[in-house]
Amino acid sequence: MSLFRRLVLSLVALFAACSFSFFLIHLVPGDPVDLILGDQASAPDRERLQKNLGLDLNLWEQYTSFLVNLSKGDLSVSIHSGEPVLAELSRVFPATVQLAFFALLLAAFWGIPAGVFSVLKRGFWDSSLSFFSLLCMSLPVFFLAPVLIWLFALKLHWLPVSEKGDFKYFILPAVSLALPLGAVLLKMSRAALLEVMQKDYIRTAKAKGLSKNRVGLKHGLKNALVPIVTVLGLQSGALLTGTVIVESIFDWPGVGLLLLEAIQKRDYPLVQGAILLISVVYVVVNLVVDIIYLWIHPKMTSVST
Amino acid sequence: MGFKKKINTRIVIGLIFLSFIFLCAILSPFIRPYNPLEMNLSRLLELPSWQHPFGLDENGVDLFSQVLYGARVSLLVAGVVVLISLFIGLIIGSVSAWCGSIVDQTLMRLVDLVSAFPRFLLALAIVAMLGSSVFNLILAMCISGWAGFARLVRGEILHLKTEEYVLSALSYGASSLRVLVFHIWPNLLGLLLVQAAFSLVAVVIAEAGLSFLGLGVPPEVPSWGRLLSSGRQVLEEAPHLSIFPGFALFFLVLSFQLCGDGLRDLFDPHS
Repeated sequence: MSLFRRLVLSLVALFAACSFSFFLIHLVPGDPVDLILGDQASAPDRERLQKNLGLDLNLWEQYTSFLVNLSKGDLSVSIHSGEPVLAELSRVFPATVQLAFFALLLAAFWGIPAGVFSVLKRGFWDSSLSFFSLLCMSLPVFFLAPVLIWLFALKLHWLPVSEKGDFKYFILPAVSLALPLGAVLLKMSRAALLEVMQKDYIRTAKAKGLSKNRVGLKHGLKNALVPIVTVLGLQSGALLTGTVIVESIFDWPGVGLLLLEAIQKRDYPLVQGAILLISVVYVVVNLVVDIIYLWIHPKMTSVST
Repeated sequence: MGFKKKINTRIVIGLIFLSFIFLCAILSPFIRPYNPLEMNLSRLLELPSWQHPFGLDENGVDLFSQVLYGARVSLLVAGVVVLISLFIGLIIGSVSAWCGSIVDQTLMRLVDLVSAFPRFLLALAIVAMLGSSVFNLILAMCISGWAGFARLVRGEILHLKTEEYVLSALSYGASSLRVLVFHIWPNLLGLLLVQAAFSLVAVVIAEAGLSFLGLGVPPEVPSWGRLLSSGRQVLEEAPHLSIFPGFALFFLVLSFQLCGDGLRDLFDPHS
């Protein structure tokens, strides 16, 4: 797939994300106004909310006005707080980005070296690391996180649990995300490096008399990094949805927590906005990864096909 | 020889684990020691004992019985979702590969669109709007689940279409449908099994995750995700409420993962 086609596809995906988030409110069984206000609401209240949600227009008018507003950066207002949805989202977005970025870094710092190590050592270390990564991949984050909280916060009192603050508050949420993610990276970097190590230029380097570790690190890893980086990008979806759960466990004030609270309060415009934001981030991250991939390896076609 | 042995042990271990969980799920009404609805209000959050091997939950209900029942929910939802997704994916992928041209283009763009969103998020958004019930949960996860199968089936059929046995069957005058069903589909079995195993991993985790967030199965059904979510509230006093359902979930995911890994090495040794 050429870069141009990839760009077009991403634009279509962005458009689809907007349409999807628009149609979400029409998935609600029955009248959303009834669900939000309850049975005892007065007629003027109902009318006002209906107008606010834009439900007094017909479907096509609703859709076009949604898209027009969106192009102006207007995502309607939150029913509960009355604030613009965009303002609410931009307030919590940095916290999610910080958490996701820190988790990604942590995952890369344990997963990739562990993968390289298991290729260079083979034997016992290789099988035990593979086994460990299998265990980590089978640990759902909503089981891992409570166990970590219980052990490190409640029993040992080493780390705090919730709220935001200094560096210490990052550790438990980030580790809960990074452990399974790093396991995927371990598996992928191991596979990538093993494949590279069979190439002719590696044999040449070995024949020159370079040590095994030097060949692996200098010649092998450099070439294996491309597939590893792309896996990092492709895992961003898992990371983004993982943050939703982790934020709810740790009361982390990010997009995920906002989304879940909005779902509970039936604050539909806010739900639509949060879903849109996460989808857009996912599409953009994947596009960026694809561009980097094409840039490093012009001969290759896209990763995602 | 050693390589082959390694593959088989993984599948065998995975299958043994799976059959154990299956047995627990099927036999749960007969082997569970207590009624999952029976509350014992004088013994809330009691720690595990001989009488109650997994302890009691925040309503004084026996946890062991609930965890057994949870196996049913997990297996049922995951099984149904993966079967439906596989079926839809098989049909759409086959139509796409067999018809080619504009049909292929349209269907594949649809696949691209569905896979342009994180699966879990798509399911979460749909369930959040439709309301939580087992039916809505299955529906939401099928909507996001079929695309992977369709892409896989299409790719493999395009590859198989040029195989000699397919060409010869066609030249005999066998109808396209007959060739597709009797000559091509049986050859997809291995790949589909691998994809199904990894799909089961994803769906089991997604179902438990949605239930954990209060969006999956209704709260009165003792699913592992729901048990973990109530365990989270009383982590300090009663860690066993998190540990037992969590390990059950871990065990199920691990066995699907083992089966998937083993099957992939068996059917697709290149990847």
